Amino acid sequence: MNDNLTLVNKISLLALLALLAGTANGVLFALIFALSLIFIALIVKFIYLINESFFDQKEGQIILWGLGLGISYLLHALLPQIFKSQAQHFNYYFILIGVTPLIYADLRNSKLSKFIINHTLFLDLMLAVSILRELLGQGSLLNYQIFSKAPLSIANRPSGAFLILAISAFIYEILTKKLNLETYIKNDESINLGSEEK
Amino acid sequence: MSDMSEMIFIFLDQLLKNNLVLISFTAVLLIIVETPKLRSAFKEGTIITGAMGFAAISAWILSYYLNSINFVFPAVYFLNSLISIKIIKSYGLLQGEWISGLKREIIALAGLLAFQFNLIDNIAYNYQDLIIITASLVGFYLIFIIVAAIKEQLDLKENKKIFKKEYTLFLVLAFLAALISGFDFI
Repeated sequence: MNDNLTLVNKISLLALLALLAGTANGVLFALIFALSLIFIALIVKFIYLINESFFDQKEGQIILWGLGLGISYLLHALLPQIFKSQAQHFNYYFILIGVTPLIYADLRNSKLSKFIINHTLFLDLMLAVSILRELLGQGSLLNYQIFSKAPLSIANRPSGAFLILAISAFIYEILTKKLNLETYIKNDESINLGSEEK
Repeated sequence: MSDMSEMIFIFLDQLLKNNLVLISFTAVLLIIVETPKLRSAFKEGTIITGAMGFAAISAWILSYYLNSINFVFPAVYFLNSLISIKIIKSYGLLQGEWISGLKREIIALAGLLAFQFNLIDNIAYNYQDLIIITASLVGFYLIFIIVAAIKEQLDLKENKKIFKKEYTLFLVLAFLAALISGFDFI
């Protein structure tokens, strides 16, 4: 676990709770969940840019985390009124979007491309995991029943969340290697892959 | 005697069927990232579990007295989490930076907040709450130790590189989650 992390490894760790809990209620809710996270990340980034030197300090960082939590709490109260059919799914996991590490991962990076790549990959992973979980676990897709019986009911359970995430992340890693995305990103110097330090 | 059976039932239900880490995903990131070698995991696990215990008791008491203004709960839990992180850090854990220059505190913050939200969802403000809190903490501690042991095995040099990736750990956690739920999907 101490090897240098690949891009897929990094995103799956930074947004782990979202990928596990946000994909439990179908593709539509996963999309709302992921877009809310990206929206909060944009606001936090904007606030950070107003006074970078202050928010780089410890107190500033705590205030930024508090702001992230506050925005997600506000969305948790507002969004169920807009997405009435999904209202029952807005539980405490949604409030926790505000403290997802992915939101704060790109603050110090001035390049917009890194932000876009990280969040596009996160959105891709959220969609992949939620599509597989809804299709296999409920036999439906976007609430349209495709199979009369769930082909693999484990997919809709917590154990299935770990399983589907592992499979999706593995496939994405193979794809990024096949397409040489990692090398391209490294050459572009827009992504600085860190390592798990301890 | 029936009271005793009920208490044991609540304890086991919270420990297995509603396991904090495997079923609710609470602090799963903290466990995946922060678990050290097995030898030191017993001590570090105790410190982190102790800090989570503080957050749980504090949230339990404060949520009871602030029930009429429950919109302040997230702020209260946030402050509880910051104090708990301070406690963990005072023992030399969560030091330095993680990936992308993020402070390691962020790994624990989400876990501590999730624990408090999860707990308040499951309590009824009576003596049974203490059993729920104890079972949740025991559940967390056990998974912390188990994951530390698994990670130690995955890190062995003779293992192929692919087995050292995070998704191997996700697969193991999937199996553990299935195991504690009694493979009820079959």
